[in-house]
Amino acid sequence: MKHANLSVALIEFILCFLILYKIVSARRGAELFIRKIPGLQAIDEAVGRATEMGRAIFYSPGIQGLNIVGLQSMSILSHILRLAAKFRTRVIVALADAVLFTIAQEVAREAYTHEGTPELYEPQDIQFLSDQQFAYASASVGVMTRERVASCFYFGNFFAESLILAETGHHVGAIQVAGTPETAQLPFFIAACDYTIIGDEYYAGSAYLSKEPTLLGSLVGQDWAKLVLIACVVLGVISVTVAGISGGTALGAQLGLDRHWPAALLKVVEFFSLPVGG
Amino acid sequence: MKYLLAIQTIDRRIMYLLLVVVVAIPMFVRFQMPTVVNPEVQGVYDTVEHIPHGQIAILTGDWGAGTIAESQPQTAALMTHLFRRNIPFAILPFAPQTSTLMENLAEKIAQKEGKKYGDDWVNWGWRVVPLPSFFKGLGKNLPATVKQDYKGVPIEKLKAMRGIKTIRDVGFIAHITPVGGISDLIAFAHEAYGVPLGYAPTAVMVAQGYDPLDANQIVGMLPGMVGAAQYEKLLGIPGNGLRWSNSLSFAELLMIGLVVLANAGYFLSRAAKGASS
Amino acid sequence: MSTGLALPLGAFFQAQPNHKLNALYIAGCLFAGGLFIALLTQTPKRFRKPLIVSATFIAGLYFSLEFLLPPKATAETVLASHSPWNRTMSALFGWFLRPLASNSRLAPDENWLSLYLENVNTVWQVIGAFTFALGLWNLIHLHFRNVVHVTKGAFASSFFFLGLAFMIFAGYLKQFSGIPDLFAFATSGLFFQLDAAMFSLIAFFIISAAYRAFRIRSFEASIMMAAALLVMLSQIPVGAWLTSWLPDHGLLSNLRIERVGQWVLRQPNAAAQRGINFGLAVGMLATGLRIWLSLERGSYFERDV
Repeated sequence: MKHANLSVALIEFILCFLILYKIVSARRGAELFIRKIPGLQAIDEAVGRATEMGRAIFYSPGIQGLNIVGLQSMSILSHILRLAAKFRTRVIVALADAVLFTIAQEVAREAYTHEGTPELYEPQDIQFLSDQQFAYASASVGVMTRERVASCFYFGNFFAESLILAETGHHVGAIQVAGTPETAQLPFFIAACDYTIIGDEYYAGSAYLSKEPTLLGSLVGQDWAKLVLIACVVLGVISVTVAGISGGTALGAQLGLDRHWPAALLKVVEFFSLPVGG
Repeated sequence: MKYLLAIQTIDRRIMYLLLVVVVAIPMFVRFQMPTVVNPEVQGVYDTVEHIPHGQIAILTGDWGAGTIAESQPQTAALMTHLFRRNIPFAILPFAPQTSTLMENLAEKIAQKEGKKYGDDWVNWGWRVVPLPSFFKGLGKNLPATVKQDYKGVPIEKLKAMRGIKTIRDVGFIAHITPVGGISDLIAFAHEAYGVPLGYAPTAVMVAQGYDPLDANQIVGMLPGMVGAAQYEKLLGIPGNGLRWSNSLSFAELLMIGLVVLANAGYFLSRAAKGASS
Repeated sequence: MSTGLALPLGAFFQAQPNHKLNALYIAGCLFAGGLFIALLTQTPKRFRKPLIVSATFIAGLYFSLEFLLPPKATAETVLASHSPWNRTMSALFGWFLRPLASNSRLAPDENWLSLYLENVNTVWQVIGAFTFALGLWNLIHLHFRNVVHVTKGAFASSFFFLGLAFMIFAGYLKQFSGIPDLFAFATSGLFFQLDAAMFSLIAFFIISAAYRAFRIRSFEASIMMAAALLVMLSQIPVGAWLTSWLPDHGLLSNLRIERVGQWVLRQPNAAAQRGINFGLAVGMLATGLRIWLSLERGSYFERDV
């Protein structure tokens, strides 16, 4: 799809409006509720365990570069780094993208400064390992095994390397928390990790962890946006079914339904049945 | 009780050794297990079978040596089919390794099928281009966008590319990949220009392919090595896909066996505990 | 918006191998890039955040508008149509649609902003190319430190330098001396094989992970295991063989393992994937919106940089 058609533009506008509206109301002090997400709650537990054991934490933002998923991962990393800085626990960040690497360095520097421990920031712990999928996996496995990490976090885009990382983490006895928008990799993380964040919980991460009003508002806005999409799906199914019965099938024609539907309803049908594309 | 606990806690090294054995045996003992062709594989085959002469196919990919066991048989089956139908194809690699691997494979199959580089296939070479603008360029003026092949020869001079002006002269695109990425091709090739798409992911990425398949955004799919084996069966050429899928079958049977064993141990030990308490 | 700017810009961004002014272009670009970076680093702190916010907003605005504004073909259709809806649209937005429809430089699927898409993408690639050096520098820095301080990974790190030197030497031989054997050995002989070996580890790990994870501890776990076993069996010849005694057609044929596996993949799996994807898409939209409008209170936007 190269350009938005009317349906797409309108739906996009409604979704953006809902998200922004909820952000504004949250910033003005509206009380917002979000449910418990066990995987995200486990982050504190995993950091605590690393502190108790006096071992390092391993963090991987996946093998893709600077995109929305990567930025969200940096946001979660920031929280983990601050938490770790409080307990003076070492965090090793393994990166496969040079752009994300520079951002991770900046995030780490700021996280330690924010917690009043800038001296703990160790540039060597933010490592660019390789931009090759399995070279990255191999190097990460090496780091995890040599450092005998106590906790592993995987937040980002993962592909075939997901199980290599997660199983190695399990073998070194680490507590593991994972989250990825790559649905094909979820089964591997579920099988090998202690906690896995599924689907859009990944994007709820920074809001849930920071309780920042802007992010909380955005999260609630997302839920409203999803309700709109569900309504669209239901209306779309009804519209297409109606269109099929009334005009598109022999049965519809026999029953004369195509002549009886009001013009306004046919407009709705047309709107929801529009093909995608310019 | 001791045995019940033991089958629930088998040392992983024993499991790994068993895996090596079951994977290796079918490579030395030649036999062929029955293969059933799935509808998604048939979909790709039928589309390739109906590409009109005068159009080309594009084989895109970003696979490397890591996934050679799955991606190579998939690519080989598609190339063989295209060669046999005398449909020229272009290799469009999105990773430097893929260019070498796909080119070497095409050379090898071409020797068997009596085909020639430039006449029956071309390699556009590794592209570090954003997909939207590249496909947009193909939609406007394909030769001007591609410019030259991987050897630096202007593509207008290659017989396979004669008469190919825009992406509308492309009858089929297959994406062979270990990392997904079909959604980009759906957006910029299928939705934008209506080019039929085939998807050949590795087995670990297969689950994602059923959504676009169900929505008719792709014509079919070769799911991992099994997909390649089924395609080879349709072509009537037993290749690496069929041969290696025997190992895969045995490995999966081992996995199923181990899972069943562990669960049997779990249940029996629970029952024994219940009886003793 | 003037479209006259597109041609010279396009010509500037177009790669022209062996052009006589190429050396001058490269030197000029390096100078301009250096100057730009120097200016950025010298910018007073209080101006940095507004600078980042503005740049992010303008870039996001460009991509949003390029996507949302209609292309030439839509403008032509609306103007030519006599339906009440399109006549209303023409009356309201004719000032915008007419010049769009009559612009001869635009392809049917383009609007004015589409003309610059390729140039914008080129800029992105150039920025990306700079980071390649950054990645290499970090690798050298990290492994050099490991070797010098004889850390736990010193031995592995020394292989980085060996590999780097070897690949440079092999590449040099292939490019300038026409001896490809060493390069082929390094790539096909070493790198490709190591890569394949790493991928093959997944097979081992899948066995141990499945063995450990698939225990029928609850009802949900039972469903998950049953689905996994069915799909696994449906993908291999043995599965098909197990139920091959069932008829090919008719009601009972639906119980053949390969068909049950297909049903699991095409119905419940596709539905679940789609549901998750809806949530992910909305999440991505919300995150994108926050970043575009600099509402994100993450570490990279919150404080002075």
